[in-house]
Amino acid sequence: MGLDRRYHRGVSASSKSALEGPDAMTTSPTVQKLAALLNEKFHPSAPPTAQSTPKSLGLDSLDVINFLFSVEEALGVAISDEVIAERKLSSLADFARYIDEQTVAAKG
Amino acid sequence: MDTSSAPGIAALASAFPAQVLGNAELYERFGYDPGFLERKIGIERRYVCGPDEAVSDLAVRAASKLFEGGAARPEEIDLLVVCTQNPDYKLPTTANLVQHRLGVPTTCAAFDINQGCSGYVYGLSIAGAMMRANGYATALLVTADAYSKVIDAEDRDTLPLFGDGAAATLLRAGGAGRLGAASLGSDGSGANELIVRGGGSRHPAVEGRDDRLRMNGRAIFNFMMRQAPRSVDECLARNALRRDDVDLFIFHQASRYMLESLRTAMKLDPERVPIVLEDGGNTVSSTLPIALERLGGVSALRGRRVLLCGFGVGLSWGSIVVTIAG
Repeated sequence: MGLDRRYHRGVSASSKSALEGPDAMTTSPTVQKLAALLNEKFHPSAPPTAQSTPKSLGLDSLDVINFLFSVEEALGVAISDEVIAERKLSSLADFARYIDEQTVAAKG
Repeated sequence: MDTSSAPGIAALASAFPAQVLGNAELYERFGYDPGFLERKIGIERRYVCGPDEAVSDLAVRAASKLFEGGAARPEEIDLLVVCTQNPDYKLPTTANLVQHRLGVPTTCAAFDINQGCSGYVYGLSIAGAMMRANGYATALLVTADAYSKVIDAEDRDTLPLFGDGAAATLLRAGGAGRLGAASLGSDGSGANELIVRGGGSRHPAVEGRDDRLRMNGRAIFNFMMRQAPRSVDECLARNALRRDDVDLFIFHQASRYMLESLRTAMKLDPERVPIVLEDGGNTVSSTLPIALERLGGVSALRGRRVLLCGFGVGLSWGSIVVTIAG
């Protein structure tokens, strides 16, 4: 695995500065929440960006299961394996877009 | 029944098949990332039954260790409960076979329960209740499984997790590991998440039927993360205890990753949540008694309060408090 534990420990999921550089100014709040969650729980091997995928951040298959569980707990949106496959969800931006859609639909 | 004669765990023993499935073979076959099986799954080796070895063989070996060690004599056993999902036969029960082979008297009540990873907690609760109700002095709870008999040898998700094994727990009226109230539960809506479909009355054994274990790992992970903490807290409430009143939380030893995730989510210190699956792996209903035994058994845990929590196939779960006399 070789996870790099230097990067960001103890950042809360509500942090508003989970992304670094230009991404911090341009990405959606949901991407920032996902990045904060990744930083807090998974100590990614590189700073998360909107284009990052879980795999590119060094998460293995078990971490991805845990990440999706954590997303569901923190943001209240379940992302099934079928949805991931059908919609080809890959990057944090993809996941955030789906979460935002579901959140809007739920408020309906 | 006063406290001094309440049912309690008196002794433990375990047994494994001789055949070993080590990590080197699994890395070669499935190409996991280096270190994945040790660091994430937490297992170095699992033991698997040979073609002529059955669950009753493991059960008898575990129970015989108790007798040979002087913990009890076969003729003392009033109740024999075998917990298994891999019985020798569709019928009779494995408990009948084990009773006969151990030389336990025919006056002993003997039966199987079909539960998986929550089975030890169910078994303790059943045995304790029957001891109280019928005035039994001595009971033997044997957990024994051989998932190798139902695992798909090509399934890289389940093969590294499970190992075959058995544990025998001697319960005595007045035994040192006093049983508290249990919290038990079931959610059959998740039945398909961990299942062997073939071989039962729905799909009798027919060539081509799916008679191998199928697991939705993600669903099981989510179930564990949600249900195990609830089960623990419900059990504590039934015993008028708080988490701080418990010295050790011994969870079903599913995998290192699952246990560490649970431990982190529940904000429990690592030293209060033992991980004891390196040697033998996930032995289903036997992981809890094997963990207890490897922590030194009731004699090494004197004066401590332990909460046992099992969860898995069913979906099913259970927690029980064991307070070990000082």
